Amino acid sequence: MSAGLFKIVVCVRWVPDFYQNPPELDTIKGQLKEESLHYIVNDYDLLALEEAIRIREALSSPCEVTVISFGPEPLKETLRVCLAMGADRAIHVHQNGAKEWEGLAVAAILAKAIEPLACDLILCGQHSLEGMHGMVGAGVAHFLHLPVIMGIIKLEVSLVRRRIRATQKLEKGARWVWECPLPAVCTVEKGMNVPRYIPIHRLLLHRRRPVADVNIEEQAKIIEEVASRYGRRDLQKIAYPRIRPKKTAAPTVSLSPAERLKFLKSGGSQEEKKGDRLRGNPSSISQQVVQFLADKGFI
Amino acid sequence: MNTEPKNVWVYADYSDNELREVTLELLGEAKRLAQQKGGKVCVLLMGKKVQDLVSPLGYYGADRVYICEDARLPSYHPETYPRIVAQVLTTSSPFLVLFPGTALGNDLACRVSLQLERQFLRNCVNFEIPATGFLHAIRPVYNHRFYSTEVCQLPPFLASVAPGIIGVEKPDLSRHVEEERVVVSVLKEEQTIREEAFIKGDPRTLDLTEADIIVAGGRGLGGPDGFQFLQELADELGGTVGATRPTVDDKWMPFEKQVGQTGKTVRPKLYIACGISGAIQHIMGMRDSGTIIAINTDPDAPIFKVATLAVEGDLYQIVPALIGHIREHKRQPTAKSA
Repeated sequence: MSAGLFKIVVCVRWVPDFYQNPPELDTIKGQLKEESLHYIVNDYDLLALEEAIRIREALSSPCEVTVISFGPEPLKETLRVCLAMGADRAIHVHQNGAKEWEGLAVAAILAKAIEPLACDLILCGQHSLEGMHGMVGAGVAHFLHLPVIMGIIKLEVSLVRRRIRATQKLEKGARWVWECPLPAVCTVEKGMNVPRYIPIHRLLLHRRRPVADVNIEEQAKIIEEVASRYGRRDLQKIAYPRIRPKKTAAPTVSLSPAERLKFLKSGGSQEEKKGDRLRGNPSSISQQVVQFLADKGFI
Repeated sequence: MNTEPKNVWVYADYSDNELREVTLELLGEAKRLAQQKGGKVCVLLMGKKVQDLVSPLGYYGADRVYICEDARLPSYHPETYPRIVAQVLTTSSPFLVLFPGTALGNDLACRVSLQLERQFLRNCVNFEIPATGFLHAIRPVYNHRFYSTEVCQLPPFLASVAPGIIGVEKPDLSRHVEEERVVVSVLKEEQTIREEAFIKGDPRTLDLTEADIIVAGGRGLGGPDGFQFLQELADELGGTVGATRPTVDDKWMPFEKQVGQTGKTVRPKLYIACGISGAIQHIMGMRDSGTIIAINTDPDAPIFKVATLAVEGDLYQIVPALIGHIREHKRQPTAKSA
């Protein structure tokens, strides 16, 4: 790719503001009330953008951060927030039809728009808070035939070797470190960094910054093609969360099958008595505590 | 294809040669869906050495286990694994494939879905199979504020289920399971992503929200040295140390370790509160813990109201005795087995 300029593309998405203006649900139609939606930048995408800006600041050679997003016209406001945060350039991919729920179709359209940019690194949020599918990052990589590392919390870029080293976040503090050549796609997980505060004067300063327009003419065809190849996934309705069914006793995997059975027969955690109180000699108390811990399977 | 796909598959996740709880949960769900569909529960089990895990899979509902055992197989690889899974699934044409909703399960499922060119439904909480043969999946959207019902039309459907939602069913120890070996070519030469290192989670540095066991201390500790004392207990239990706001304000502990309204909200399986009186701001951050043990000198401490086990006494006498007894307890089973 380009010899001098290191190009980072950050895919962002606008999502309803869950914090200050939470969306309201129309329970009859099974969808959100249109007038209650106020859009902000997706949390995870802000992490990705922050990481891109930090990479740019750390690199000694020239580097450019481009944000790209797919959506209707008012999306430009969201992109200007990204510019205020520190992105060099913003690209708005126009959406002609109805709102697209399906992550893979969005990924296909974004991939089409990203391809001519000849970028070295693509960063995305792990998933959008709206659909929570987490398909866009992987989809973009798939359509561009690039390697993807998902759910990362640490990223090192080596320009000399043209490789990245990314740390994937797993459960219980476990991490997996992967290495792969550039260009590549990474999706960013919570815990990567803390996005910088955007002061109001920067927001005002970038209020009228131009946002490049890209129109993918054949987007309806792409959406149709993805739907026929990958199968349709339609949103039927949105509802309030149901009350979670009563928890079944779940013995830990550290028990043998026979012990698990015993645990389940006894009713497990539901039978536990609240408010046992121990007092007296420390040694005998602690003996009882250890017995309690052992009964519960903690030691 | 002339036969309609009926079987429900489960990708078995395990660690340290033990099936993960989420795998057992998936088996229960798969059993329910397979019954509805009139198909079988198939399990894909991959790894270096997995034979020991086959019969437990049967107890929890598997009808047939496809074993992909190869000494050259790494514990996970984001290119090799999806290829093998996709290969196995293409030849067997399932109706639905369930993956554990862990970081790796989602990573794998996402990649497999792209290889198979199918939709992937992340972190579902429930499934319905209407007569149309489609799949209705219910999953959280909008930052867990609402649940959506999504309809997929083209099988095989791929979905992951978040851990801890379904619950483990009672095992049936009399069940037998069919085994089938799968031979796959491990495509080593086509890897672009290289494994650099696997870092095992260390309870000492673990984020509190991820910890299973938390030993928390309050101002009753008397000083910053008290936390080293608690660390000893935490190390014995494999837990993480937490703190209350006053101790964090006094710089006895860093802010990341603060539990409560202005700190972190935690839900560990075991929470041991030492020298914590139980201000409401603290209790709000830990009351959903599975088991709470509170150690305090004050018999009227509010923390005792939420405690599963209330221990009245001086923690500086009880905790050392506790550490001693735990060590003793740990030695016992090994002595018996030897």
